[in-house]
Amino acid sequence: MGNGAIKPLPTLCILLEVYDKTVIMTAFSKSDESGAPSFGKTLLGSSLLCLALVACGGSETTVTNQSPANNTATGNWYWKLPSNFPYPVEPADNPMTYEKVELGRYLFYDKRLSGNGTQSCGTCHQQSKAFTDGLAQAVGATGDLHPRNAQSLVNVIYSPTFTWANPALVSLESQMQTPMFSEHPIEMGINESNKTKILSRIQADTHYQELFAKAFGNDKQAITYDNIVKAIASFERSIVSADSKYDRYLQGKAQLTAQELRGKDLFNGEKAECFHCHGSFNFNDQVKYASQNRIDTPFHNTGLYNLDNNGSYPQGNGGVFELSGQSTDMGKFRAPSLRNVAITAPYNHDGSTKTLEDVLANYAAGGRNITTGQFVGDGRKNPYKDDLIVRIDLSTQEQADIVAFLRTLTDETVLTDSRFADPFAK
Amino acid sequence: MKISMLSTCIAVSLSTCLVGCGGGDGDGNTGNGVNTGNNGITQDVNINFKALAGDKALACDDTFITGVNQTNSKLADIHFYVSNLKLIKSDGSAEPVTLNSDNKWYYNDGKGNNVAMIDLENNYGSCNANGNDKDINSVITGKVAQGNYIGISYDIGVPDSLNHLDITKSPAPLDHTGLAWSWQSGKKFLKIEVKPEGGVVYDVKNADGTVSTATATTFMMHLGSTGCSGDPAKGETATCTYKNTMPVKLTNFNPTTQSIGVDVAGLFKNSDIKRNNGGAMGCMSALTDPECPAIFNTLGLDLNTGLPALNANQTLFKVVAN
Repeated sequence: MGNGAIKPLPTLCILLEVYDKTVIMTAFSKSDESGAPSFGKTLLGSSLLCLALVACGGSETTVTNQSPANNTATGNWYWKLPSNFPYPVEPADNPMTYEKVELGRYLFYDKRLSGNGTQSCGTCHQQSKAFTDGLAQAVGATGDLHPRNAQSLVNVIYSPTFTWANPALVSLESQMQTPMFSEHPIEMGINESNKTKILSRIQADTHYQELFAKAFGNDKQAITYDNIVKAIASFERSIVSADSKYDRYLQGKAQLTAQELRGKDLFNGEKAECFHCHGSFNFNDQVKYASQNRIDTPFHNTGLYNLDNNGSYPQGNGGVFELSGQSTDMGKFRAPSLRNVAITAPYNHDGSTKTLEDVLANYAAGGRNITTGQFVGDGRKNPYKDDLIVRIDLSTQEQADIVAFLRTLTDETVLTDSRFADPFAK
Repeated sequence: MKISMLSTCIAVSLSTCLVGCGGGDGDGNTGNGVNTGNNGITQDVNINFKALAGDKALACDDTFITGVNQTNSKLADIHFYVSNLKLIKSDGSAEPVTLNSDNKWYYNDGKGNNVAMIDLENNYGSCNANGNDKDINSVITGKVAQGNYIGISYDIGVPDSLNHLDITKSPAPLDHTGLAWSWQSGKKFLKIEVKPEGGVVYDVKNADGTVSTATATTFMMHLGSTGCSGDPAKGETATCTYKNTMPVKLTNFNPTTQSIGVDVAGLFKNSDIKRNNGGAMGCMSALTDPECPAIFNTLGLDLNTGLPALNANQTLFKVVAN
């Protein structure tokens, strides 16, 4: 069982840094357990596929952009993005319009969409917490405890897969079936016995009749589950965060403190190697945007558990393994975006890491060693652990510096923008 | 001046690539929906299904015995999708049965794919905890080319082209929420659940490291495709490594005098339904679930390939008198 670890594959990593008049290209590879990069060595090491786009310095201002020519969507939505954000993709069968987004906002926060009327999407995805809920594990409308932590919906339009560990969920519309209709656990609790009744709550509401007409036309049959899903997905896609302190720093509008700058350099450096999995403009390694030639969807085991010394993660939270049945997928989860990470505690797929300091300590140790309780096991020795998760010589000061940098990723605009707010809130 | 930093890592092998993996052509079963032979003359056919415990009719709230330990149990749920339905002649040839879409139990996509849903529980008593409705459908009504038939074959499954449609886009009966398997982006082909007396016991590790037991009410069998991955560029689920489509062939069957019995007791005859040693409560088609091999055996499926087993035939469905 211990020999099931991923074999190291040849990998070439190329770092291109474009400064004012200079291009610096560095070729490196992940070489050995110490984490030291091997410049110029022939290719050993990491089996990761990763794509990182990080703009450094520069003086671009936010521009109003129309959708690029190769976006086939025909909706009336326009994106306002800074230059380091690529254009996202809108699905051809659900192009974004302001009307759909506004309708979706109402539906997103409407508790009548749950079986017992107590929960809306916004219950687990609260704007003030960057669309998370502050709990380790989410709780459904009937009290079922979800095995996993509610994820942030910020910048979700850039995600190629959805939820913590599912290569099969590749559209927001598909993903939405799970919270709406699932039984184990029950989330919103829409089922065969109540789905007609729930829909009629929406159909009978004159404000919704007006919003659906604007979004989907005057067809009397416009209020359907399919259109509900399309509208909510459109609202979710509109939640884009690009105005953190760090984004403003990139645009020359804000300054980072000395500590934050140290943290940034550590984050992007080869010692901590955070950027390998959290290095795109969205601080993760699964991004989908217009004019891509290839979409990578890596999942990673970060050594959080090692039950019975055979690499197992707790029952019900095996990660991609639960979908694929392949032992090498044990404990693999998607690296989430780190945007707004300072306010989306607790952390990891099951919320089992309480603070950012604890997160950094786990990475510094090369995994988590649990010495008491029901999940005893040394995750640092997990045989399925990602090759890049190794013990790193990060001092407590350096860990604190990285945390300080992560705090610069909080975007107050997205947390308070009325376009994303709960219209039912008093 | 635009300033940017690009870092790209390229792995030579695709063994960690999760995009487009799983192989397969993605194309499922395409039963010939066109009636052939006999100048296009067709005859009606009604295929009746009955829930059974052994040889006895089984209804919601009846107590019946099942499991290796002969456990008193009750039915909690029974739904399944039937596709690729054919009647078989004495020379071994088979003719497809075509259905009429009725927006409730039958769907014909006009391209040769016909799917019916059988629902043998009426939400009564032991069957009422599952969010289902009271309606039942125990018959498949369709048309077949005129002829003399002695047998029947069908799949418990959903053709690939229909299996991965979102519930909100699926035509009935594929829009049944209880048969949605959204986490694997597909449908449950079969959902049979029972409630053993005393419940289903499983181990729980306590915070202090000791182990105690907990009890669930229901032992569940959910059959569906697993090992699925999607194509993020297209926004759809492309392939599933383990299809788990269950073929059924009953070589001596007369639809006018006989029905197809669904032996719920037989399904679990080799299972200890009072105990769950790992994975879901019962079996939800996971490769590593210790409760799955015994049940897959009675379904005639190989858990490790998702294909029909080489040395086991299904024993869930059997021919019984009307």
